[in-house]
Amino acid sequence: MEKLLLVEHEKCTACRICELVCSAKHCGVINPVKARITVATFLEDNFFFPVTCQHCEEPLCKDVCPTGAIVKNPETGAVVIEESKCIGCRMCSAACPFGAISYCSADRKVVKCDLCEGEPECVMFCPWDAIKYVDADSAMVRKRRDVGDKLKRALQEVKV
Amino acid sequence: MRVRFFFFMKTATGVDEAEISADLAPDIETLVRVLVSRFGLPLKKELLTESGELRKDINILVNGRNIEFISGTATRLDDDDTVSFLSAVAGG
Amino acid sequence: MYGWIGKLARIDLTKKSVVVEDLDPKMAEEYIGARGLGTKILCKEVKPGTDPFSPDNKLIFATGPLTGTGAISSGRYNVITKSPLTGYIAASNSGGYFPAEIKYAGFDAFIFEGKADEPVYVWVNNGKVEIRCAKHVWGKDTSETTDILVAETDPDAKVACIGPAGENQVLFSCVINDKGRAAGRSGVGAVMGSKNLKAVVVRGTGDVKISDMKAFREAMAASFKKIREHPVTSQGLPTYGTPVLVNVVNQHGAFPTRNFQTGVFDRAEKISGETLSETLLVRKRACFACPIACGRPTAVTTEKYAGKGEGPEYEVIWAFGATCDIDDLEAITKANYICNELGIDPITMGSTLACAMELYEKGYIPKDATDIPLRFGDADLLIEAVRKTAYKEGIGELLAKGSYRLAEEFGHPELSMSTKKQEYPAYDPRGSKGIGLNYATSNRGGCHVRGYTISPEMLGVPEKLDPLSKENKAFWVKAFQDVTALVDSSGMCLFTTFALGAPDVASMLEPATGIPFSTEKALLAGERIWNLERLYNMREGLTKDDDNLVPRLVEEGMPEGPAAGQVVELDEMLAEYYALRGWSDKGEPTPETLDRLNLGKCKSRCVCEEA
Repeated sequence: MEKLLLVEHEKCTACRICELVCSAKHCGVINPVKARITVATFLEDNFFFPVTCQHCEEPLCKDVCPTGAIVKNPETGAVVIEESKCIGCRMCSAACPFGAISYCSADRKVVKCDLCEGEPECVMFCPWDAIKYVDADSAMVRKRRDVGDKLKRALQEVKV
Repeated sequence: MRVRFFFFMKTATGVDEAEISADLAPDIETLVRVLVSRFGLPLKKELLTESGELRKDINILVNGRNIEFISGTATRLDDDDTVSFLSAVAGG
Repeated sequence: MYGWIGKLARIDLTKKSVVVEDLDPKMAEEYIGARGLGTKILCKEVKPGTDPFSPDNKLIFATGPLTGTGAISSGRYNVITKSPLTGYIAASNSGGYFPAEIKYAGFDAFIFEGKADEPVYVWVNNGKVEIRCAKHVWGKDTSETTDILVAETDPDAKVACIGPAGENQVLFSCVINDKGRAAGRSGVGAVMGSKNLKAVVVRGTGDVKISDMKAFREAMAASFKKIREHPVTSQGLPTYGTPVLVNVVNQHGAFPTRNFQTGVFDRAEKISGETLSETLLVRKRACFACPIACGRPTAVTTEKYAGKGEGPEYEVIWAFGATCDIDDLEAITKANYICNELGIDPITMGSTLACAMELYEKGYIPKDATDIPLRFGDADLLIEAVRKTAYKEGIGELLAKGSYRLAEEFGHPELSMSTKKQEYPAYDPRGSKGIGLNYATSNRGGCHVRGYTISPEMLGVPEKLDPLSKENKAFWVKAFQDVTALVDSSGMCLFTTFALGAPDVASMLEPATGIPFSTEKALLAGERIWNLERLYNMREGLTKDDDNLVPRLVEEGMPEGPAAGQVVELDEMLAEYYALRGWSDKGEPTPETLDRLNLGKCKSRCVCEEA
């Protein structure tokens, strides 16, 4: 079944553990700039938002790739780069509206979130479940239920 | 006696404090039973383990002294005592 | 190297020269990093008797081998120097994002030497170190300084800087990083100011290498699980932050009120952690790599005290609250913001103010000797007093010297609530005997984060100890002091120790560095660091007599509350402590102890004559 990464920014504390475990898993070193996920952090405004690949339905990165190296797996929904076909032109980086495709200068290749083959490390280590990996079909249902839960609690508080 | 709830205990009971007579709860063990029946499951979870024993990580003070250093759950209570229930918290 | 980067930058501000050196692997293994490494460097390189404000004193910013690695709560560094407040070792710890950036920029530590002839800042960008003019930010507060320096370097740069208080060499000024995080105590900011060093700006995109990533991930995951399952680190601290302690400590009758005149504050509820959470708290926030998230971004909307920023922490609520007899949480929060902006340690600030208030109340400070009346309970006084202190205006000139020098000036040093001239934090030892022994023996003077016995004495973690008993406290103080030295030196946060112990730290150190670290070896390093700090202090003139508590705590019984009638039985605990440490009855490490800790070269008071 197709799953997707769901970010709930209000739960994020800007600890950036997701960045560290991502770089560890994919590059074998600790380095936030090598991570496929970045917490956009606005300390002053207390706004933190983990940004990563959205695994789009119509990926611009895929459209612009001149060698067809980017494919969307129809089963998992993951947008992945087939390394053997990649020529390192970085057109995908230029096209991605989320900045989700980086160029790794050490390995001289473009890199992006591959959902860790179904077990995303960032999800596993997020202390606050701000990043979840959930069934695509029920993801928004769950979010709507959470909104309802918040409203319920607010109403209860007003009554007290 | 004056029973005060702090932190998650307060969230569980919904009140800062309660007045309980020492006749009804002459010692800590009885007081815990009385409170659980009055405030129900949310407080029970804060006070007791799944097997029904008093949680070791919470602190109960009688007039500012931890019951651990008085007589534990057998600590006797009077009407002019203040009992404080503190969840497991810390800081620095 | 793994874990460590293996590079130190030596920055001579007099000659405006920079030398990059290799980190000595043996020194790193023995002293770990951060607090331990910095102390070792200070011992080796700064001569005994150096004036803290002389160019010969050095200011060291040091990370640990776990800083920036993703080990639990590993976003910390230490600022080490000779303290102008105590005259002894200063090692102040801070989190945020700045510390990890030092590692990514390719360094373990910076050693600042000499004195710039005019204000400068240091810009470190991926291995390159540049000394730049800082005239345009001199005099500015820490937020504005940070914004300006980020704008002229790199949008992702991290900044540690001093405020006007550090520039003016207020004896308890701090180094503020990431706007709201502080290397707070012992006046490390004043030393930075004396060097005309306004800020250190860092940007790095390099790797931190891990020796055995698979084993490291396993160790990290195991510790992560413990932190997430422990009620304190998964619920208590994230929900309420440190201010949760207001009610805990007040309930125990150990919440110092009116300059330690009593341990019960009758309006504690108004300034409690619950009240803060319900009113001013915006959300919870974490330091780098921390799953606990005790950070408290807050906002005050009431016009008089309007502002936003980080904190107040428990200590600040106490320092500007109970000990000054003030119950206005908004005024306390505003005073905290101003301390962050001006770069002042709020613990010493609040305690100095409380001391001034008692001196004033008792008539020891004559009415005409101060430009502002120093009355207990006056919330409006807080903000004015902080400003006057930072700029050394009026009575601020004396407040800027801390409570000991202030009280001495007016003939009553016994009313300064301090040991080794550094003020006590927010626990009255008459209601918590272990912390009294810790205050007396802490290498940086009055301090709670050296051996936090409050944890077993009031919080019941890891087990419940009777706070009013002196029994066995020496054992716990020593054990906590040693493990804290280890944790501080590793780059992890002390708050992890509510859920983790030395075995967990060792379990991450070993795969990160590739060097075997058994629990015993790691703890021995902690003990070694503690003893080295002691030796440093001894060579700067410390004797057994400095391991003291003020008369109020050992002679005057607590007047009321759960600890009524209690005094601290310091002498008995101290004798036991010296024996456990392997120190003579004069409080000096014996030759056998020094040999056991591989400090044999540091014989007696003549420390660190390296072969």
